[in-house]
Amino acid sequence: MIIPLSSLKIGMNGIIIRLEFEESIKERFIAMGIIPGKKITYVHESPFGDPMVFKIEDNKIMIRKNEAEKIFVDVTEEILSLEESTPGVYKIFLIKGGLFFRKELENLNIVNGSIINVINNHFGKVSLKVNNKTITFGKGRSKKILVKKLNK
Amino acid sequence: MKNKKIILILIGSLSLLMAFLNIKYDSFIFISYITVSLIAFIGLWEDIKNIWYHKSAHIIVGGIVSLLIGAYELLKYLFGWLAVYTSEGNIPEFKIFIYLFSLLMLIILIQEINYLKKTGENK
Amino acid sequence: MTFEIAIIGNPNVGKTSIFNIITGSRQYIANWPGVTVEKKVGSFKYKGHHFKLVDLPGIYTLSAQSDDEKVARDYLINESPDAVVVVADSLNLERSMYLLMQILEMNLPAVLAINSIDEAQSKGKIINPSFISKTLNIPVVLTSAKKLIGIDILLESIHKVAEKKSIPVRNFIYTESINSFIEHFSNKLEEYDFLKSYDKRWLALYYLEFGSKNFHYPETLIEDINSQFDINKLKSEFMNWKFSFISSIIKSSVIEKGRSWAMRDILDHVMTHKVLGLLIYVVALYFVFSLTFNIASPLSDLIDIGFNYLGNFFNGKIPIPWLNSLIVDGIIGGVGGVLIFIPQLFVLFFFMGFLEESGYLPRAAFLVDKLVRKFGLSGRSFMSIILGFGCSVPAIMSTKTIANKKERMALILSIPFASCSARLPVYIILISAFFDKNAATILLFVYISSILLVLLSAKILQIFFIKGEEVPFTIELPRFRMPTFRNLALYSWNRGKHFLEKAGGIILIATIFIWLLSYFPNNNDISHSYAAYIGKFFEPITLHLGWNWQTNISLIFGAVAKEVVASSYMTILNVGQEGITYALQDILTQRSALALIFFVLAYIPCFATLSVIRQETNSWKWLFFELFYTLTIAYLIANFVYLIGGIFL
Ligand SMILES: Nc1nc2c(ncn2[C@@H]2O[C@H](COP(=O)(O)OP(=O)(O)OP(=O)(O)O)[C@@H](O)[C@H]2O)c(=O)[nH]1
Ligand SMILES: [Mg+2]
Repeated sequence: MIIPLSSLKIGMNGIIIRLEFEESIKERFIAMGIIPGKKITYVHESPFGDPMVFKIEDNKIMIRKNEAEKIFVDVTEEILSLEESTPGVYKIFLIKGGLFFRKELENLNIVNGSIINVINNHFGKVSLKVNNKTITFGKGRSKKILVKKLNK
Repeated sequence: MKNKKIILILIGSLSLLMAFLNIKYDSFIFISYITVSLIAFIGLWEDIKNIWYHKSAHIIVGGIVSLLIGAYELLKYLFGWLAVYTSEGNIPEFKIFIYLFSLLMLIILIQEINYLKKTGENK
Repeated sequence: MTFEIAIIGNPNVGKTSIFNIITGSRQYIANWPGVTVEKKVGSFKYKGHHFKLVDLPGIYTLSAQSDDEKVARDYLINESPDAVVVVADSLNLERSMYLLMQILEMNLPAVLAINSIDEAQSKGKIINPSFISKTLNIPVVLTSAKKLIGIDILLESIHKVAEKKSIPVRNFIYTESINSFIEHFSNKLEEYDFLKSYDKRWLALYYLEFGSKNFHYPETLIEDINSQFDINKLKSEFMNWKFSFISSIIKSSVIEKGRSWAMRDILDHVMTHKVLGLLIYVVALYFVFSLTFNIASPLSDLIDIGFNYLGNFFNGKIPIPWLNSLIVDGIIGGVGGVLIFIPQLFVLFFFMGFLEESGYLPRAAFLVDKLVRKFGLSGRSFMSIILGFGCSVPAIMSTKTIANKKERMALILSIPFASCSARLPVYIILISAFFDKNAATILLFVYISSILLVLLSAKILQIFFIKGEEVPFTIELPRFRMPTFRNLALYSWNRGKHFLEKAGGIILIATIFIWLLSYFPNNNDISHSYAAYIGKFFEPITLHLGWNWQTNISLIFGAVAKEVVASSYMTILNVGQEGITYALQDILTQRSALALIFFVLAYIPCFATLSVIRQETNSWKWLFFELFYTLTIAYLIANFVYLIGGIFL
């Protein structure tokens, strides 16, 4: 699947496919090492989620979100936050919150790797089904849960 | 080390305690202990699954900052004596617990680095 | 005859380090991209020949964006060196090859130096230079500027290439359509006499890569070419050819084995953490200020005792009273009054050296980029602000790498608000006298305020005075490196030497001047001296802040160099560091001292800074603006702080 670099989650990687800039800017990014065909990993997030630091081989480059939106990568698996999900079946990839949040989810039978079924997503307020129970998360919480789409 | 969770909790709460013991003594030391405990607790709290050395990293950096505190305290003590002679300063206090804490962290640091060298060989 | 050799390469790969080793000079080295911003020339002898070595700013590509990159590009296009040393980073070889290819296309006589080989080795990466050498038909040398590996072989290769007059033919096997493009283009070029001296194939490829922006191709030629070829399609074909060519070379000459992580990744994970990163930076800064008061102060008392002894030794030995006073009160009191701060300054320089050499600086840029964008700046500007804590002059020079014109102008005019090391002595005497309890905390507060001041000033300037457009900003984060003690010592010594030179030069002159003004016309009756008259003249606008004539005259002379504020206090109050505390407490209150600290923070940049502002903005107008601007802001802030101070103190 091809997505912009800015949609990567921390720790994820992809293969650079194309850069959609005007020629001179594009050439500069390429000279800095953003070369199509290379593997790129999102390694550091900043306090506001922008800019982002990516790693290509042994080289770390800071890119602002504006520019990252115009660089496209191919990812084998797309990981998104629950907040961005559309109805469908997902697997829990990572829970970003603290210990208490994780404990709480554990009690609901939601741990890394469990399968959930998103029923609807109303501007970030997500209802989902786990083990035949229906749960609803607010925007703040669904942001902290990363999921992987399962193909059905 | 295997039980990183326990180590992190230990570092976090111990440094928090040290922070409050030294709140009146030196504000730099106070802030540094708070930082160490934050480093430890954040290492515990946030679990970035994709990075295998996440917890170790927090232990190591927490250790380095603790060593810095120890070095600072030692220098402060030694130069405090110099000040006694040059400008009639007060006789410096010898804070045994600060040194003990740094020593403990040094041991943890060395253990952790050895562990990393062994297990991380092929990662 | 002399051979001219140029060093070129990506930023931060170690060009200047190699330059320093070969020529034995001590140019500025640090672990962040964009340290060298000007052409630097040195010379060396090898096998009886004279060589001129030119160090250039780092570039990623020949299409230059900022002023420093243009220096390097223009050099390559307009000069014809006898050899070009292309320095590459062994851990980022593929990226460096991109620039190397552009240089080979220009048909320059190149030598490839693959540097930092020590770091590649410790990571288990093996590079086989002979394959690259055979494929590209150039000498390839593995070097390490840190461990001094391969320098002799590099010199040998340079010598060989420079002596050989002809450039070896490099027939890259381009695709069919690119070849026919080059063919056609070169044939067309025959029609234009003034392009005779350029390499024709290069002009063709350069047009393909960068269009006609940076080189004046004749219009008729461009029209013809554009009608015959689909340039965009050809261009991407050429790029693709290049990528696959480069990666095929890399694949056959680099073997990677062993682990894919290093300790620096582990440190980076926490140091670049979104919350902890900045916290650790503030703790480090706090560490330095605590050291300043707890460790450097006793040392400077020791130096002070020395100067006191010296003063007492001379006092009374000289029969002529005015000469006696000049030497004892003026020179020993004044210059000594600045020299006693050597320990504090070295602590600061050592720390700055650590920041620059470890690679932390660009990480700070990353962490605050979004925040400082609100002030019309970028993370890159933040790096220059932190450099300003050392000295404003190199900080202003470092703005050359900022491609955004508007941002750069605003920053040049605002950097003097970043609290440079010359102001430290003034803060120290005032803080020790009035805020002894929380000395380090107050100092930290002053420095953080100074960052805020720079940011606000940059914003204000961009709203009212400077206009321009945005340029995308990216920066490379260099690898974390443990600074070697040698590099740190060198760094501190370079900065410290500058301070000593100042103490023996401009500060000495200013001190003598102040002494003259305070001794005459009434032979040592200071309160009826010229100094007092001048200081009193300004009292109407300063008395409400609690500053009397002694403060005023010190401030006036401080415009030359900020340390002079401290030294003139010592001359005028006629005391050493021991007594200055009580003397200051007599003439200032806590509130007015705090106002004074902030005034000194903001007012008129020193002469050296003004002249670099003039040079970088290229206008007298901005220089006079800066004088007026900083003075106004400083006065406003002093009043503001005095007002606020009234509430808390
Ligand atoms: N380990 C190691 N470090 C090196 C080597 N060469 C240079 N460095 C370090 O790399 C950093 C950059 O070195 P510089 O010589 O300033 O690099 P430069 O290419 O001149 O950089 P710019 O002027 O910014 O383009 C410094 O911190 C050096 O200490 C090397 O061979 N090995
Ligand atoms: Mg350089």
